[in-house]
Parts: sequence; C-alpha cells; structure tokens
Amino acid sequence: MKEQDKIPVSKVKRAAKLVSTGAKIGGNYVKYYAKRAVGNEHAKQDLIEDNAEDIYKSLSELKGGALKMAQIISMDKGMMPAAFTEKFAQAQYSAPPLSYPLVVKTFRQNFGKSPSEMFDSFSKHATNAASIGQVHKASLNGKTLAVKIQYPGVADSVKSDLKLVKPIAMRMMGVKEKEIKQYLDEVESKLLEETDYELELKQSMEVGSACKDLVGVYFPNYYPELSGDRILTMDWLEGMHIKEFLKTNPTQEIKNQIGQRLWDLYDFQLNKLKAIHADPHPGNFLFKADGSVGVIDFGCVKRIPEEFYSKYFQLMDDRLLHGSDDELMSLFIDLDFITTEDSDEERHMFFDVFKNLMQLLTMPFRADEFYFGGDKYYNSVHEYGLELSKRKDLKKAGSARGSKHLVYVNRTYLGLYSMLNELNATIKTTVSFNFDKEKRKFT
Amino acid sequence: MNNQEQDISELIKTEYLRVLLETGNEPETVLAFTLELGIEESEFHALYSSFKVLEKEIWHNIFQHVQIALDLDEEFPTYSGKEKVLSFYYTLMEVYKQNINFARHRLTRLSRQSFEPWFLAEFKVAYIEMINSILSEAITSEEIVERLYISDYYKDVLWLQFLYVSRVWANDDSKDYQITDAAIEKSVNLLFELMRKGPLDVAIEFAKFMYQNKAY
Repeated sequence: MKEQDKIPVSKVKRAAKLVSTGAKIGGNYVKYYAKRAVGNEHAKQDLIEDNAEDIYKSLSELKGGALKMAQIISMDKGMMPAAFTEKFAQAQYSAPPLSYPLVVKTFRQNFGKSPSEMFDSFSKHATNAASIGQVHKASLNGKTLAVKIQYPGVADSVKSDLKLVKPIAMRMMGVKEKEIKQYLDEVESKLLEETDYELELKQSMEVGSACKDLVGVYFPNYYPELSGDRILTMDWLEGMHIKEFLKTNPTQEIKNQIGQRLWDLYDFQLNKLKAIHADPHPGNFLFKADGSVGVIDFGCVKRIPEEFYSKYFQLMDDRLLHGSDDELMSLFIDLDFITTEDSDEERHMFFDVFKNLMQLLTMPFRADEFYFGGDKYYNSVHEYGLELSKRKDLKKAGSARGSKHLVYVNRTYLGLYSMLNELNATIKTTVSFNFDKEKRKFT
Repeated sequence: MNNQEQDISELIKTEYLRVLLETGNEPETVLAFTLELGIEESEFHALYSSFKVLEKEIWHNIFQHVQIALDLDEEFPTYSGKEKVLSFYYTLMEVYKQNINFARHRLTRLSRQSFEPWFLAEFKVAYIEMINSILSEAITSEEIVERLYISDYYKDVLWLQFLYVSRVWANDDSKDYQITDAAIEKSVNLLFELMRKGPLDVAIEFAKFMYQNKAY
C-alpha cells in the first residue's frame, strides 16, 4: 500500500516538470510564428535555441537519469541541430547543488563522522556538479582529494526519469520506441551501473592499474577506506578541461602528443582490456601543459563481449571492405545490420548503406596516419547521415539496426574523434590488433 | 525536578513506551500502570497529570536531543539559515531512527489534515522558537526578506513543512531513507527560494498597485 501511495506522487511531480517544459516549448512556437509573421529571418534559429534551453533546464533540474540522457544525446553531435547540442553540452558541467548539511549527513551515515572530522579540510561548496552527484575538494595528510557524493534517491529515480524522458528524446530524434528498445535498454542498464559507486570504485581501480604503464596518461588513486556506497574519494587531478586548455595556445606538437596518448589509451583498452571508459565527455579529461592527460570517472565502463569484438573489428580491415561482398554480407548479418527477415531488395539497400557508413566511420582506423582536424571528415560523415535520414525507403524499413553493443562503442569513439578534432590532431592510428584473414581470427 | 524525581520520570517513560509499543495503546489507567510498575499513583501524578502530558514531554525530549546534537556541532553556528534548517531536519531524522518504533507509531497515523497533533504541542513551541531565531538571523543577513504581513506566516509554513517531512519519513521504506533526504532537500530549498527576494515580491508589489489604484 505504502509503496503505491508514494511512487505516483514523485512520478507526478517529475511529470509535472516535463509538462511545464512542454508548455514552454509550446510558447516558444507561438513566439516563432509571431516572429516569422513579421518576417524575422532568425526566427527559426531562435526557436531552436529557446526550446533547447527550456528542455535543458528541466532536464538538469530533474537530475539523475534525465541529465545523463542529456549528456549521452549531446555526445552524438550529428543527431541534433547545433543549438540543442550546445545547450546539452552544458549539462556536462553544471547542475543545482546538494546542501552541505546533506553532505554531512551522508558522511555520518557512511562513516559515523562528519567530513570535517575525516579530512584536514573539506570545501563546503561543491566544486563541480557531476550528473548524479557532486564533487568536493578535500585534503588529508598533505594530499588533495576529490570527494564525489551522490544525490539521494538517484538510483531509484533513474528508471522513472528515463520513462519520462524517452518520449521527449524520441520525438527530438524522430524515432519510435519499438525500433530502439534494445538500445534504450542498454543505455538504461549502463545508467543504473553508474549509480553504483562501489562498482565504480572497483572498475576505476581495475582499469587504472591495468593502464598504469601507459606513458603520459595518469589516473587518480582511489581510497576505498574513504568511500562508501554514495561517496567516492580519489586524488584531485590537476589539469584543464579541453576548452580551457586550448585557450592557453599549446603548440600543435603538444596537441598531437596528447591526441596520440588518448588514441593509444583507447586502443589499449579496446584490444587488451576489452573494456573501455565509455564516458568520453570533455569533463572527464584533464589536460596539462606538458602534454599529459588525466582521466577520471570510470562509472561507465563498456565491457566488450568477445563474440562482438571478433566480428565488429573485422570491419577495420581494409581488405574486407574492399573484398568480396559475400564475406561482408555474412558479417553484416552477424552484426544485426541485416536480418534474415529482410527481403532481397532490403538486403541490397542496407548492404550498400552500411558498407558506405562503415567505410566512413572506420576511415581513421584504416589509414596509417589520420588528420582529425578541420571539417572535411566530419562534414562527410554528417552529410551521409543527413542523406540517410532523408531517404524514405530507409525510414519505411526501420532505420535502427545493428548490435546493441555499438551504442557505447560508437559513443566512445565519436567522443574521442570529437576531442581529436578539437585538438586539430594528426594521429598515427595504428591499432594493436591484426586480423588474420586466412584463419578468420585476430592475432 | 530532583534526582529522585528524575529517576522516577525515566522509569515511567520507559514503561510507558513499552506498553504503548507492545499493545499499540496507552495504558488503561494510571492506577493499573503504577501498580504494574511498583510505584505509588501519587508519585506519577506528582510529575504528570495524565499520559498525554507524559507523551508530550517525550516528544519534547526528542526536540531537546536534536538541539543538544546541534549545539555540539562546531560548524552549526557558521551555517546559513537554510543550512541550519536542513541540518536540524537531518539530525532529527537520526533521532527518529533511534526511537523508530515510537516515532513511527504516532507519525504513520498522522493524517494530512492534522496540523496540530496533540502530542507535538510542546515540541511545536520549542520548534517555533528555534525557527523564529533562525529566520530573524536570516532576515538580518539578507538571506531572506521581511514582507509585510506575509513574513509573520513563514514560521507556520515551516511548521507544515516539519509535519510533511515527518510524515514522509514515517512512510519511507527506501534504502537509507533516501526519499526523505530528497524530500527535505527539495522542500527546504523551495521554501528558502520563496522567502528570498524574487518574483514573489514583484507579484506582491503588482497586486498592491492594482488594489491601491483600483487598476484591475
């Protein structure tokens, strides 16, 4: 009884929040038509900006799942008009904070002590807001620490938030739920994992120690004795976010070096660990003038199943994309790009579509050296995406295809590409795997 | 109260709580209660005129516990008004937890329409006194604004909020009372936002203008 009395109340409250966003967006349209009526050419751009702002505001107030969703959407820049992307990108840096007394209370609950008793110093105000928590700066025995504290009730609210956000997000992307259910489920399960600080602690320590021999990439130490199920304590990393860093005008040499280190880090995680840091938003990387880069936040680690790995990364092989169609077709079927239910006509259509798409997306992998700067490469990806989105025959056949593991693998690599683009970097895109075509396996 | 009375009072309270929680009801009569406890009825009446008076005092004790804990917290005096109220609630929830059966016994039965539960009479006096002092400090530091007529009701709204938070806690079965924490955080935030200088003042000013100039 109690349970049922309660849940609808909070759901109604959250829904009310989103409904009010809906109302505002309605208002924005009124403004748009009014402006258009008087011949304002910028009306449409204004409309998109107004909408993006209102959606962002309501999402960031909802915290938890919704904000995270905003972050994920904002990663795929090609998906939305520029104004949406800019606003959503803000979600990566700021959201309303947790009060200090609640921080104290969370500490008391976990350790029976207040933060001021546990640390030599502890900032009363959060220095950063993470999507499901916030970060305080602390010091202990001469070490500067970052203490991440999770908002209460986040894990519970992630699911119901997602339920509310799904329709809005889908309308923005113009797809139906049925088409993308398996992908949303993948996202949901990852989001729930992210609310598990004990898991994050474990993953952080595991990935950090596995990567410790990589040069120029550094990870914070984590402190299990100062962490709990809603508190996570790690070293405070110095460094700048990418935008700040670029303002200091580093040389192209340094930028290439940083880019190369990021590339190598992901190559190592992908091919050696089979587990990648799948939250490549700019807030998680800290750049230093000497060309080293710090990596934080292992709440979202995508483990790559062997089965998927051995299939998908064959596509990085130049010979395959230019080889026989039969081989490629069977690979596409294995990867769910093409299903056995497709008609012959659809098979051919999707075969061409995915062949082109994969050629574009894996282009950096297939080159020895790749220049990520400039607009050329991104525009060709973007244009192809646009072209696809306009094709009626594709829409009819349902355009969401491919293995669900692609969601986070693609998100990670698109995130990496976008950082490398900002760095204007030229990268030696050698990869540490080799596919033996004769034996059909990786060596 | 001298030492001996203090001991008897403790004894009475412990036994009263036992009976209340075991049977779900107050003891039948003072006589039966004192016989069971092995004290004179007059000893009970010297301290309490009825069980209700006794229970009011127990609730007042809960408030005092919170206050002692807050007094011991070195950081408390440095807090803003909002933080003080938050801190009060988080501490209160801890004290509730220590007396979980007793607190839940009354609070789960608290209806949404009940604004002045009898057992909280003394608690309320102390609560309002504390809130008044926090609010007047907050007004001085310009954290919130004084508004003609309206600010007289701030304390009453905060009392309703106290009842709300207590009810949420009593019915909360989320892990570590996370729903209660969120309810506290959000409701205190909202109230302090409303008491701060902001859109509300503009609205009041406009209403005043309409009224004074009959411009409606």
